[in-house]
Amino acid sequence: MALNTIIEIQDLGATHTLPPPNEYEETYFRASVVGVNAVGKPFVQALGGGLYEFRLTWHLMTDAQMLLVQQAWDGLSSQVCRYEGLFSETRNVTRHEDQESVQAVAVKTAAGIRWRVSIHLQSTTKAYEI
Amino acid sequence: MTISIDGNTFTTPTGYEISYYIPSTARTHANGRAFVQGLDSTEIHEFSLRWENNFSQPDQSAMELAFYALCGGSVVFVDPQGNSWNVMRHPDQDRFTVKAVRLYNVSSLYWLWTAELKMIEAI
Repeated sequence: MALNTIIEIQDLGATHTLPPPNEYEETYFRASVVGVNAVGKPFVQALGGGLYEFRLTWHLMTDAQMLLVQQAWDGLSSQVCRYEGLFSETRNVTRHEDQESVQAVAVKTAAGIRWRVSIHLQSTTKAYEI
Repeated sequence: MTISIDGNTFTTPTGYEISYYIPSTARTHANGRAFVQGLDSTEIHEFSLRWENNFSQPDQSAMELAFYALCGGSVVFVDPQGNSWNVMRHPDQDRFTVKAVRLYNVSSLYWLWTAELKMIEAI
């Protein structure tokens, strides 16, 4: 299956098209508890439906590309956005609760300063705000 | 041998580990002597599957369905040796993560996908 060559994050203001990341991580989570009874036998009980987390890391972003991430992050930090990932799957996402800010690390290359940037997103059952 | 979880089939993993234990408790007396007491006579198996750079997009779609089921109760797992087990998600893994790395200096996008799943036998 062909992969998307871009990542899209759409908020109320605009659609932010980001270059493909160098590292991509997708997590699927369903709330559940695992317990052990009195004789050591495990059991599991589901608590809810499935949620997703996405972690995208770019290694050598240009200034212009980093600006795109900043613009997308503004949307992700203030509203529910629509995210289209590598497999063309769409999810309603916000920034992850563990990441309040984006830290860009400067990397010196032969072509000049480049940026290492990582963003962490989480899906939400809330509706995309249109 | 094709593996499956709750009827969902997957690419053969690059690594597979099976272990078992018998619920028991072991203690050491004040005089230094140890004793063990079994809590149950049934063996409980644990399974670990690892896909190193060969987890595909169809695998990812199938795993969402499989992991959802693993978090909800006992499902059937057919291992690489063709044996069937009733399993559930492992207590140490409450979420499933797939990681990808894009290779440098290639003219087209090329991704290597890695994933790991742990399960425990549901008795």
